[in-house]
Amino acid sequence: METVRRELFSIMTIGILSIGLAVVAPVSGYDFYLIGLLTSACLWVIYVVCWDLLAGYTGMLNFGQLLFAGVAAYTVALIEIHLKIPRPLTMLIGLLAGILSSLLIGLPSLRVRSTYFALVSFAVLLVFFRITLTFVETFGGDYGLSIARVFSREMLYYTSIILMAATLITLRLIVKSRIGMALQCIREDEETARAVGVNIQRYKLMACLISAFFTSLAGICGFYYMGHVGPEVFGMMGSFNVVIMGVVGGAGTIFGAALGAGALSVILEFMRPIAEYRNIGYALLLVLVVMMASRGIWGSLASYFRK
Amino acid sequence: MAQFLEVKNIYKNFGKLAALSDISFSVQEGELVGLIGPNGAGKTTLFNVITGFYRASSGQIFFKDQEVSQAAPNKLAEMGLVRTFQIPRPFRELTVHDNVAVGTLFNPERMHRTHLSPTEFVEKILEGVKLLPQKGQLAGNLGYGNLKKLEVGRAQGPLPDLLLLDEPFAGLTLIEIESLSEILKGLAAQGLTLVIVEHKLKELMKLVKRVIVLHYGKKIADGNPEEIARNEQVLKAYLGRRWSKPNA
Repeated sequence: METVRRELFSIMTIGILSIGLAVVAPVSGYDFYLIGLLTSACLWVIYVVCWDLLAGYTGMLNFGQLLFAGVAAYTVALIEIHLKIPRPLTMLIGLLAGILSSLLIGLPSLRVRSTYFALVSFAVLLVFFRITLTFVETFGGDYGLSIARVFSREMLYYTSIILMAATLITLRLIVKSRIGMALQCIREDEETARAVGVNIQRYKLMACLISAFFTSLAGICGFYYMGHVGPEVFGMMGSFNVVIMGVVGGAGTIFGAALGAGALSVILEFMRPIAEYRNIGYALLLVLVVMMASRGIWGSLASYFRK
Repeated sequence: MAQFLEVKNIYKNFGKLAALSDISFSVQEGELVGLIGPNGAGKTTLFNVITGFYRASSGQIFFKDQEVSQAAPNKLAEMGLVRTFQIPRPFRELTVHDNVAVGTLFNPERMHRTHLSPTEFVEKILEGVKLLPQKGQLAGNLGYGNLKKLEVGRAQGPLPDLLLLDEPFAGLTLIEIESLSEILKGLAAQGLTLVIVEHKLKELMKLVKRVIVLHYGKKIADGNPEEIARNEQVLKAYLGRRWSKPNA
């Protein structure tokens, strides 16, 4: 495809970075802490990049990105605990569940302006949070659901890197294609986009499903890594984190979002020592970025160089 | 085909307000039609109904013999019916080139008609509206005059057969209007059917061959520019009863 040819450079860059990441593990002697940190960073990158597809490109500001991940993770957890079916099937069902959950916020949004999407996404997230806490028997309440480790840390580490690379490449190709153009037009001006032939409903749905697809896979990966999923996945902080990382990194650019996620998840980790002040620092960072570099770090750099 | 565009007994109500009452007319392929009327007459409402942005309260619209009364704007664009907006609505974060290219991307069947590559086609359109030098600029940075031209250019992206223009001359200087008029004449010469809503009557009358007049949501006249300029009802609508008797 023509788009693939044009994006060869980006694809190779992503590939090289991924290989670099993969090599860190053996080189560092399989340090648990480091592997955990990097796995987590990879998953955050996936969440944020998927969020960016919806928010940065399509203008659907999503305050519940982790909804998809949580639904997928809980589904997989429940199946692992209660049923004896082949693992690939389990993961497939989890994936489907995650994708379907995107319709909960995607379908209502088709009829209204993209701004309402923000409220709906947040509301649905809270509903699921409540559900997991209410049906304690099924969902394990505050403790969530846990299983014994079934995959090794290393294997999940490599899986998350591959998944991240696949997500980055796929999304990059999508945003540089006709689909990406449609999404941006929807963001810019829905009515006008329709007037020149863009089917708004189709592309909004497409964005939701694609975003949910990779987010769900990452959620499943995260579940197997931790061996645990809890109601916090449906909590505000998680999904707000996604928004913050996306905005700070640069909404509307795939690499910016990835940068934001990677950088912030690592910074977040280093801020652990100052525990209580962590959230304040985080919020301050967001305010600073919005005031001084509203296109995010990547976006501002890109504008700077364009001049 | 029977009629190219047929509007049949269209009514549009907003609550108790009758914005359009019993509007009927047809447009043949290749015509250059003007749609005029005082402010509030319902011209833009009629455009919105025809192009699928509003649903008519009753009545039907036919385009190329197909009923399109319920059709969505993007479906109409696929069929060859495109509109522009009175206040320019560019895709600000996209370049001028991409603004026009959007229309080409989402109407692939129509694109096969031209034997040009997408880029060539877009550049030809940009050249036609005299925006080729600005093709790499972000649309959000263009001045008003150029944005109006971009509206016309972008509307050609989907290769329309019928173009509805909503006050294309609004806010332009006389020179810019002349320039745009030439562009529109050129489009008509290429076979594009045009329906133009305008307030700048002098400039419009020079351009079109037929004029439809709306007043308080009703069609009060339909004829060539000379007839319309002398029509008592039209004069009354614009100037009031006192001035409606045409000069002897």
